[in-house]
Amino acid sequence: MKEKLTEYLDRLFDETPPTKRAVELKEEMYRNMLEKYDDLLAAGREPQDAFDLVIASVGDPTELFRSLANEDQIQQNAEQKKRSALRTAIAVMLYILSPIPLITLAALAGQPIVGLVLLLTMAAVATGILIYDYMSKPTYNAKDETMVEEFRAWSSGTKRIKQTRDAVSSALWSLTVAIYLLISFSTGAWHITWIAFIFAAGVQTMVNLFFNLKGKDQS
Amino acid sequence: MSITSDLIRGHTDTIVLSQLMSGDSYGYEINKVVAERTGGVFELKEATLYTAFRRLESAHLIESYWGDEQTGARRRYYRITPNGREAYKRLLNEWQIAKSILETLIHVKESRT
Repeated sequence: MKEKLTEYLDRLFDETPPTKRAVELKEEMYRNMLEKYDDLLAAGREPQDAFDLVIASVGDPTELFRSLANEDQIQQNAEQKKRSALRTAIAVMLYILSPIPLITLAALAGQPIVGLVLLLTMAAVATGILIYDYMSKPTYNAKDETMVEEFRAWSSGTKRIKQTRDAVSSALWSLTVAIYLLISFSTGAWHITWIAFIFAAGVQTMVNLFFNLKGKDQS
Repeated sequence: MSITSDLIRGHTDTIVLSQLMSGDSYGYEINKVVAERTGGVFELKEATLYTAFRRLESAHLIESYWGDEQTGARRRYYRITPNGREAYKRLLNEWQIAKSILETLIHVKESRT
């Protein structure tokens, strides 16, 4: 009869995503139902009779599952927001701090170029964090198949792709300048290091191609 | 019976809080006490009870913890918080006011019939 109870609960939770809360609720319900079943048997009920009574006492679980889904949604959103805020704060902090190596190295060590390289690297890292934060945010999902919903999902998708592409490009070029200056000053091979820019242009083309293909996939 | 059930179901939160006032408990035990006290006339549906647990817990009126059962599924116990005790007193007070209002409104005076 325990198997029948597990089976019943599995069916009941069939359409509920297996979040921590849902799994815990299932365990809680299983335990309580089992105890009720045992009590009914001890009171002299037939097994089938006891099982039916246990199932009947569950009632209408619609509201219960709705509150469960809401709680999960609220919790997820709150966590998402927190993480996103932390990333944005770190990125902004990096942007603000980035002139410090330039100023200190130029003033104290007479090395303005190394300072500039550090500045650009910090800016690139900060941009990278912002891109990651943007890309890891949940996309707009069309809930029903109406035209408005579809259009919203489509425009949210294309806008995201465009913004991500712009961010990647700006990070790519600041990194290129940083690498170019770093290599040129450390090796002194100015006659050849400009190749870095041609290389970066190649990468840029690939990035554009990638985002174009991705955009076509989605539409 | 269905009207009575609806009337009582509106006070599920108060019923759960009142049970927890006298000590920690878990779902089946609470429902068992409800059935015993009413002589088996009334029983909370489990879905109603769990919905109330979730509602009270997210309002920080109760908190839950798992029992340390060694075999099989664990029991989930509920404990009332200081906020919950205050809420219980308030709900009890509200109910008493509502009860006296209802009584004066729905009783028919003998002299006028």
